[in-house]
Amino acid sequence: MKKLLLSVLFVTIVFSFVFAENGVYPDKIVIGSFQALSGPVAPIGISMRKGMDAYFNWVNANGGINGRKIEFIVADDAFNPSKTVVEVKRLVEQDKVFAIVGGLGTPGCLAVADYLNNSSVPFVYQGSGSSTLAIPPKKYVFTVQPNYTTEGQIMAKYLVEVLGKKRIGIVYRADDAGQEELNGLKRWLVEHGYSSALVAKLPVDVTRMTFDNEILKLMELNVDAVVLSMWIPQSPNFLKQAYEYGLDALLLGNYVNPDPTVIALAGDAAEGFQAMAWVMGDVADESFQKYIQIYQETFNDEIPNAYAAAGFIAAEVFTEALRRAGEEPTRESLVKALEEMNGWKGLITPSITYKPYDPNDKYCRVGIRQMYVMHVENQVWTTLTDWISVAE
Amino acid sequence: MNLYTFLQNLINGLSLGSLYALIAIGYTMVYGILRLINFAHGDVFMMAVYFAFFLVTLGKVPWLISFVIAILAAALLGFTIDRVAYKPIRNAPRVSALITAIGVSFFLESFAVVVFSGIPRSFRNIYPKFLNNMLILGGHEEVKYGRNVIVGGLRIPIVSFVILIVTAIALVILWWIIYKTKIGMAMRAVSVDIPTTSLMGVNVDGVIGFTFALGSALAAIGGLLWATRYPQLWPYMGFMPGLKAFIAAVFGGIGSIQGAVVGGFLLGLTEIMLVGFFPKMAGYRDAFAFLILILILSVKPEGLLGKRSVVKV
Repeated sequence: MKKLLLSVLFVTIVFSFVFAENGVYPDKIVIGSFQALSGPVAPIGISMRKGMDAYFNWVNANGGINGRKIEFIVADDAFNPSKTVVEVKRLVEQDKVFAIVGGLGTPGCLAVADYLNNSSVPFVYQGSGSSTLAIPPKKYVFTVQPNYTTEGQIMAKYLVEVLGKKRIGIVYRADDAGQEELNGLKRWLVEHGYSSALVAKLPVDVTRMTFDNEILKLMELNVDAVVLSMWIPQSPNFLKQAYEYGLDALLLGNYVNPDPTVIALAGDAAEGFQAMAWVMGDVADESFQKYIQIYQETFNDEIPNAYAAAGFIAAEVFTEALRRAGEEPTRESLVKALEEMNGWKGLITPSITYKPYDPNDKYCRVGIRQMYVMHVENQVWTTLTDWISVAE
Repeated sequence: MNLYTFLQNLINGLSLGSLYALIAIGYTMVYGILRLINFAHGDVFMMAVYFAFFLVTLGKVPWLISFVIAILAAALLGFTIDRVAYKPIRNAPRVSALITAIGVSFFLESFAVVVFSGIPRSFRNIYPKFLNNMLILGGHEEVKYGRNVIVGGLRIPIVSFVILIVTAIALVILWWIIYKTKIGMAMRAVSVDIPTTSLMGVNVDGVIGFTFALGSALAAIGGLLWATRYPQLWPYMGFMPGLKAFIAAVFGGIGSIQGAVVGGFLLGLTEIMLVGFFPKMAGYRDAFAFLILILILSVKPEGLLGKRSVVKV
């Protein structure tokens, strides 16, 4: 009898070694992420990591998921895609992570998306607005943030249909992201017969801080709305200079902008600035208060910025999927759990929906396709509109 | 392009150009003496702005005094960089010094990220607000979207005048130091021949240290004016202006102070005018600056006002 028990035990142990999923241990699940923790983009990477750290700490402090704690390894790629490849391969092949959650940056995400997909490693949340991550869909790559094509279309719809603007200008970063946003904006205008409404397309270098030329041009062309497809610290600089020159048009920024930093940097010039948003962020909401509380459990008295919110959402989405992936989660069951998300909302994650993998379904890996508009009123970001979405 | 827009671009170009000129002088002075491109120069520019920022916000020092202290602190920083990083390898091959310069630049940037945090800060409330007011010349009032606004006309930020005036004063003082003082004479002598100057009893290291201090002080003035015009500070703010000033220095003829000034103004004007005339090219503004660098290096490597150096083999 004793012999039989021992052999059963032996077989179980062997089987559990053979069949156990990578990164899944009896007491923990190991996941990885890559962030710019050094170099010029570090302020973003560090903030995003803080959002994830705070959420996972809170999950672990409350017993983990199905009895397992989450062990979170963050690799520093300094926003350099060649480093991203090395770091992510190390995470997958050496640290044997279960999944990659919340990688930062379009170049890095694009550099590893195919590798992760081919290695069947789920990649949940990319800190990037590039539509190429999700279209065409990759089975293991789940995007959360809206992409710039969607945003450009929503911006066009908002400016033309809701506000009745007739002379729109766009100032965009001369990179893939800016170009994509311009294309999205243009596409909606052309498809809806407003192509003449786009009167100025002005690209700017990604490091540029002086916008005298662009602002003068916009004033000369008499625009009534300007889309700013750029980030902090560029956008507050633009706001300030536009204010000084007296550019009299509605300024609408992309979703990187609704952050207190913009107000701190631009001051009075930020008043009336509008920007797209996708994170549920009404301060009065109970769930938002809960989010702040969770964040502050790890980072005392700190108010999370927009990038920390992004990290928080990455962690929220992954954790929810893991919870649904069963007692013995596998990468396949995680993918299935994500595919079954239909209108799920987290504390600050807006309604998110994926569909079963279908190479011909453009949107089966696009989680969020709706946004709303916020504006600066009395030096505070406040919600201005309801959710806006564009028909495909 | 009408006359107003042209004049507007002219003024914007001059104001940007004078900032480039101020930074370019530091590059060119160090190069004139040591044949070293001091890549940390742009980061001294950044540190000076942080000094002023913290003096005003944490130290509660009045802004004008803070600016003066920041300029002196930057001079001291430049001097220290030379003593710590460049002096020990004075006789090493020039490429070692160049790599050290890049190292110092990375060090200062990363130091600023760690100590001051990488999040951009506002420089808005540091200096009096009127500096960013606009002077509007000409134009006419029109009712647009139900509001009275001035259309057309020339819009000049007050700070643009201040930039031009301060640059002019700084250049006069620099000219006086170089041509009318003993240390200036020593600087000129060292730039011609270090061993001979040293044999004649001149403290060469002292002169080099002074050159670094002087160049850094000018970079600090440039940085403070820059931050007044574009009021943000962050650890990488010196990178692009530093590179542009380097192009300006090469454009004008590296090693020549007049050349740096001319190069700075020309680069500023070309950048602004290019975009003024061809708004669609705005995305290529930086690329265009580097194109100038490549062209100058391949066609006239000594620059506009530089001396041709002949090496006998």
